[in-house]
Amino acid sequence: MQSPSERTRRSILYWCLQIFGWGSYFGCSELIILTLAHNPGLARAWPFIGLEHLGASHVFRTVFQKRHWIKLPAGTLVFRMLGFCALLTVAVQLAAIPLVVGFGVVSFRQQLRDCWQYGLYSFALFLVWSALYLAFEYFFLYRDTELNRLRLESNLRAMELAALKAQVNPHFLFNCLNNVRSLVIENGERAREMLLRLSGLLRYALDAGRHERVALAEELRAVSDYLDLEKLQFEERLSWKLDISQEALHATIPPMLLQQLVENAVKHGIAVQTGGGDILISARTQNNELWLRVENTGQVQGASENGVGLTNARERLRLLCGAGAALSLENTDNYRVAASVAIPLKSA
Amino acid sequence: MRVLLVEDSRLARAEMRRLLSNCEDIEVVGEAETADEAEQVIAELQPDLLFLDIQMPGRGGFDLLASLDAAPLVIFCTAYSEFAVRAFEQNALDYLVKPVSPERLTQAIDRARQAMAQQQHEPGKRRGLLGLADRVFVKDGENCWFVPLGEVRLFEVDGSYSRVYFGSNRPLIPKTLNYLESRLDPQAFFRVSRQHIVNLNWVKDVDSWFSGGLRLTLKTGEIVEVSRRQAQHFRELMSL
Repeated sequence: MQSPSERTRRSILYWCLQIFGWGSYFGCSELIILTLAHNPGLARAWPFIGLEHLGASHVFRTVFQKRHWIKLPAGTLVFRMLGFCALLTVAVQLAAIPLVVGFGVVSFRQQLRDCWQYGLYSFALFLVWSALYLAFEYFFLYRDTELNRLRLESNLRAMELAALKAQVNPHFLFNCLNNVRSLVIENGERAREMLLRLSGLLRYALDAGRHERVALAEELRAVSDYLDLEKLQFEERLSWKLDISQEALHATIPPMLLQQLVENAVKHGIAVQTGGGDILISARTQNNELWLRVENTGQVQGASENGVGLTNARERLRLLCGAGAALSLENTDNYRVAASVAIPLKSA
Repeated sequence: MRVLLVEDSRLARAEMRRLLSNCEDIEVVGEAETADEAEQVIAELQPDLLFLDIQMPGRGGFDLLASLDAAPLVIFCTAYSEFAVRAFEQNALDYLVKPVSPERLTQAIDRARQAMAQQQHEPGKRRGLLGLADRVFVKDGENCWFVPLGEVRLFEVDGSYSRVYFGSNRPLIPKTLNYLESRLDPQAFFRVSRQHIVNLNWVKDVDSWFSGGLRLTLKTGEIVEVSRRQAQHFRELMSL
């Protein structure tokens, strides 16, 4: 996308090139007419003919831009441009008749007889002009695309970084280590198991940046590792249920997407209530879309709809899954809140 | 030293108990999972020292302290130090990050012992009343302070809240002036009118005011009026 100021700059450049191009061409030929051809009538008509060409080429540009010809396939574009050049040639020739006849260069009859010669000449001029113009348009198209690509890339980078930071929540990590330390004495076997879970989760989080998509089944393994570890902290205050359809297991999602929704459910739903709560994670496919839902005890305040975390998650989802993906967070009743994500299906 | 553990994770409490079992003069008298529970247990057991988790479900550690009349000796415990810096600035005894190393715990307990020894040497401490050496924990939005009552020069009524004047701060606490009057040592804090309780150590000048009242000027320049009814008591108190 180009900004308004960029558009103005481009317009100014266009007009400079237009005036310089047509001006130098018709200016030089005017000199030749005056000095060599000694044709005062033609010399008087010539600047006007030059203006006609300038005007006609500007009509070309207007149509080109209004109709977005830049987006046409090459074959169609060339065909249209040739046709439009011919049309402009005819228009310019018709408009030239009163000029040359009026300035007494030639008679009307003779002009009609010779007009195919002038026409061919004009047509050639328009062809050269349109080729140059096309180069001008393509140059800027290329530059815009490149700029957009770079912008997107840097956006993604920044978001990856933020996601990475969010992935390993230090509060969770240190509480977890402290709990495992205590568990070593209480139940050594289970402590060993929990260390495996923690390794699995950390490895998954650290590798998340390397893949654009992972199978939901794989993400669910990390999520259950995470929940088992949180269970050490919350014990009977945290419970959860999974409701995943068979097809959904094979669908792919951006890594850590579900994990972050579940972590938010724990952080904002379970951890703030003295009695704890429960989490229901469900996934199904419908209408060529994957529907993920994380429902939990708790309430979302209206303002957090625009919270930084949620906005980031939305942006990340949009970049990774395209405009078809959506994320929403709303209270289902007075006690529960649900985060829902819809992602267009894509094979692994 | 009688210690109370306030921490929502059972495993973390068990871990702290194990660590403390190696310290000779420490007796863990109770545990609390939530701030509400802790408030009850503190009233019941009057522990000397709290090990307090900052982040807990419901009310957090800071909220718990703010709801107590006098702040006990507190060692903050946290999983991650983003809050700890804040706790330290409020001149808490110490703060520990979990998992806690035994060496670090020993240090913290040494500090607690020193603080407790100091407290016991304070003269004129009356049973059940808050004296100049007692500390209150004040929480006002994001800001928290441990304030020795000796530094508080004035309490001012503000609806059903009270405004506490110390240093350049004037935070509100959710306690009525009447309640504060009943808890504060009357030797040090005097109810001069419906609006104010004054710390007598901070009074610089006393002037007569019309219709038998008095006007007090504090060392910091604030001027407080003594109602006619209280002026009599005030004169008696000052002539003692």
